[in-house]
Amino acid sequence: MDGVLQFVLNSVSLGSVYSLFALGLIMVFGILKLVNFAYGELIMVAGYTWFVLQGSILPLVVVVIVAVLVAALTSVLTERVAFRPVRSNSINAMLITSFAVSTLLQNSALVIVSPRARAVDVPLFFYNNINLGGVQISMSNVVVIIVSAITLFGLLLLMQKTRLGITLRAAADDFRMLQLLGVRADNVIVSAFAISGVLAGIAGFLWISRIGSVSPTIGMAPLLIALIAIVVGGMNSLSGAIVGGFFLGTLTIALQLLLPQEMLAFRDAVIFAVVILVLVFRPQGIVKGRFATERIG
Amino acid sequence: MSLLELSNVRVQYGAITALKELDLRVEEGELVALVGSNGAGKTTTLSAIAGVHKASSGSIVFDGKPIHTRRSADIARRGIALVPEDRGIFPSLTIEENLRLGSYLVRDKKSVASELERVFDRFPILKERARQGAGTLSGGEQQQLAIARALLSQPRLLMLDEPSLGLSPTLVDLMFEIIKQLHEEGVTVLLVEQNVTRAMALADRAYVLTTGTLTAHGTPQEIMSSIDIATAYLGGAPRAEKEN
Repeated sequence: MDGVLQFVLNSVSLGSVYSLFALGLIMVFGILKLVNFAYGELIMVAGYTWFVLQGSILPLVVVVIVAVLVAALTSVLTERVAFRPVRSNSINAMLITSFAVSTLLQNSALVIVSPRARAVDVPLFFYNNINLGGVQISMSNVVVIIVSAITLFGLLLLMQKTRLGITLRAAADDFRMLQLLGVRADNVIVSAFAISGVLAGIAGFLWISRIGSVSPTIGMAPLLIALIAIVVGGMNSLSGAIVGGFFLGTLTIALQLLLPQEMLAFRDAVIFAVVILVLVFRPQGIVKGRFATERIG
Repeated sequence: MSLLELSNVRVQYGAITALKELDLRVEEGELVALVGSNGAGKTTTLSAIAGVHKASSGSIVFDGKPIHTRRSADIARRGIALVPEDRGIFPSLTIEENLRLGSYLVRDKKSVASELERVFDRFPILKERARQGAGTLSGGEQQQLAIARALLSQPRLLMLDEPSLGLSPTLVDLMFEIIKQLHEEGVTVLLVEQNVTRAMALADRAYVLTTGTLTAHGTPQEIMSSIDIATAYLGGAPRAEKEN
């Protein structure tokens, strides 16, 4: 019974971080049909903001909020400076641009900070366990689950209830028609990038607090996870990203438990094999969405 | 001064000329019909006005100001609403949300609410199904939603692209009845139709396009007596051009 609860908690915890990663990536993809390869660097930027501010007198909550805002600002800046000028060109131009932005940001961190990983001060209570009816639960899991739940709920509220949310969903359906209703494309796209950055910042904080350090290449794994999650979950809806994230998280934890010791090194290979298998039977991903498949810049 | 005036408008899709030196004007309060066969450039004309496709030469002046260099969002902001041929419904939004986006540009909340009420009176089916997903609507209902959404922006010029396309005869009647009502209420309408008789019956003036060239214009009576509509409809030109 302990084992089951532990498994569920670990899966939910990892799955929710993966879902946030995936949501941040699909936010921009849904509208521009662009897989933003510079997405991982937003996580890195949030991590370095944490690293820089940790010596200050600011409490952790404030540091995290600043880190999230810096990630959002970076995201908006990359849109304004790099993506907007090439938007009217082909999708390939955008894709290459996103690689360039990614490399540029990574190398900036390399030059400005260090190529080596830097430790961040993860609060000690993260490592505590709380005892819930005989089951040991790590505080870090509790924090991850609570923060993710609040973030997911907030995003849901934003997308369903606000004018901005309705506009973003409409843009994913038919961007051309939205513009015919007088909505300016630039405003919608900037908002999508901002939300993408906020999600990267929050998920990045949770991710980095698990690892305990930040390095220039810290964003690569989250980018890959997010990409796989949206492919397997379904690239045409937000729910696909959430489903994909939880699917990957649960699969990872399950393999961690089930694989024999000497096979653990091949965990990721097994994950990819399962993902390929899912795609063989459901090429559209687990959730069939309704986003427009055509790109209209 | 006309509300809308196109002079010498030319539209190219790559090497193909979809529209050749078109002159067209719409006066305030008028219902102007634009008719012609498939591929004659009717949709292209509306797209050029709405800023979806840019005119490669010529000018489009709305309310005294040139708009042919503007983006479609800015043109919409000046008061031109286009109901496209594919209706442009957002399927993952509810009907209510679709309508809400129609009034995106209207700042005055009171006016939004009263306009919504009028729209619901006109299209009761939309009120009934307000919370339903727009993707579940039938073709006729989608057309009503598209027109309702366009009206909510309180446009100075309403452009309808083939509103009767793909509808059952009863719904076609309803659609023309609605257009007639709108016209009587003073809405300026530019109507593209393949159903030439019905369009002519409503219009104050009409333009006939044949493979990208204007072949006739005037009051419906003048047109009906002066040209052979059948010729215009069968293409008329040596080679038919494809309309996108």
